[in-house]
Amino acid sequence: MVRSMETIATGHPLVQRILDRVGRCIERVREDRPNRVFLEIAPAHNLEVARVLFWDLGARLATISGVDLRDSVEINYHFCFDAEHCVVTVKTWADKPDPHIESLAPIITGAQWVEREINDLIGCTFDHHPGLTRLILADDWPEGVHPLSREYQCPLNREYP
Amino acid sequence: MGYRTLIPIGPYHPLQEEAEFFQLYVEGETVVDMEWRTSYNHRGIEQLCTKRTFDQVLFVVERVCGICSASHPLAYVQAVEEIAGVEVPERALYLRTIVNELERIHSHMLWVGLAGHFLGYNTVFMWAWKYREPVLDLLELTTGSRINYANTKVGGVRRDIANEHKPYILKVMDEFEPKLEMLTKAVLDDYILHLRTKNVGILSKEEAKKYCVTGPTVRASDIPIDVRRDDPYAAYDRVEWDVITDDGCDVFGKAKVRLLECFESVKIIRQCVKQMPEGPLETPVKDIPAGEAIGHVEAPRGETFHYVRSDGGPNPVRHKIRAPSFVNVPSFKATCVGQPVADVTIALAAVDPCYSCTERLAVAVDATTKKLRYTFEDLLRLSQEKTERLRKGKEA
Repeated sequence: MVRSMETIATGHPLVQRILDRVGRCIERVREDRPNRVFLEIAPAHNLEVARVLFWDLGARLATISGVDLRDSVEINYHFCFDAEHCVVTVKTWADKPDPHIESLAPIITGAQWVEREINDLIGCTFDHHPGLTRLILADDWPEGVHPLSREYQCPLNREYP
Repeated sequence: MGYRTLIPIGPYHPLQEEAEFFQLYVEGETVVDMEWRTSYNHRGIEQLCTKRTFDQVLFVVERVCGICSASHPLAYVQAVEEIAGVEVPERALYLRTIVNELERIHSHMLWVGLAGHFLGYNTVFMWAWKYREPVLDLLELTTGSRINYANTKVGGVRRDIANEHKPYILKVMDEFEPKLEMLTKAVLDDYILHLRTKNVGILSKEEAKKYCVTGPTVRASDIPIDVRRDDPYAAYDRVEWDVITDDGCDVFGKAKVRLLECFESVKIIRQCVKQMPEGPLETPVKDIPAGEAIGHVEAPRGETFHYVRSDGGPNPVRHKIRAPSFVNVPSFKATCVGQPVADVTIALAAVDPCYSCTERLAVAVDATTKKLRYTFEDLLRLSQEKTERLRKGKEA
């Protein structure tokens, strides 16, 4: 999937700083509201972009959210730049079936638990995670069943009279 | 390596009396490692939210937590308002701020009381909870309910504060402040509490950054992060207040930050009540267009983060909720290792973990015989005995 790099005149000075450092990894920049920036990157660059944002530019990893898009899982890394009053969301994806993406846990300790959560609920595997065991799902929950994935059929969904 | 014992605390948290599982690996009296397991009460709220309309989700997220029941809806509402591009009326912003600050005072006072109880200071517990009561009454007055306020809605707020109630709010704040001052002095000047909480459960600046912690937990590690100032919402940019930090990095620092924050909350509430302009309570919102947005709010325990995505339909297609305890609780790994078992109880309580937000603690079993070594009563007794020893030592 090759996407053209869109150049948008963005208002936030932070965007330029990010582009200067990791511009070659970024495929699209969107800033539809003040202080909310969305960047799109290829999955191969997630570790590099995260390292620059977190360790060099001083962002805080607020959380990671996974969205099941049927043919892929979208992974959103939400970085808060508290001093710059800006939230930068880095978007990437992992193709289904068997979605895989490099783990951020080796470079950002705080990513460990949320990656385990996404692994449980959506079924995305994080490569090189220090311990990708269950966090949310119970130990007796069946293997390979992920409640927030599109394929999941909730046994309690029933028609009410 | 010495004789290693596994101490499971949970799956029912002995301190907060909620479901969570910590496995402490102990050599002698010292914790050498720990594991955390959560989600014993997973309620599937994120999934449920995608089956409800944007208006109904509000009442679901309010029930994420009984204490942060103003912060979660506000974070969600801000995300939806961003998607819809709604401008919220000025008066509604002030009303939101008042309810959120009342919530912060009642949450911090609850924590101070519990922390006192865990250390064997039941007087602190009774004081703190007594002074918290009028604050809950104020919440009832302003929103109609002591918990689950149902106050925020997309585009504004549901209930107004009548002008004749304003003097009463100010009166309660005037009465509360001297009591808070007395309590703060009593807690922060107590010699025994210094011995029990200073240099206990240290979370260094570097570790705080690595674990991405938020709220009073990070501010007690001398990192001045506060969403209310860093990404102003509601009316926080219209009033004067300070971000409280402490460089102690220990349990004492966290207690100090929480107590001093209550004074800031009082300041904010007073200014809001006085400055609140007249005007409409809400901007009518018809449809929520397709889009995605982030809403984050400084809840009493830290940043509450909501990510909402809409496809233009009646319900969100994805709603991700990250409660502050989810990032604060793992920092136990950094704070508990190297601590004696008797100090773990207060170190664990120091981040004010909230399980209804995050869910699941562990207990001590003998690693060879698998028999239970410590129960909740044992841990509580150990903690209270230590305080008693220190107190006797001081008198002797």
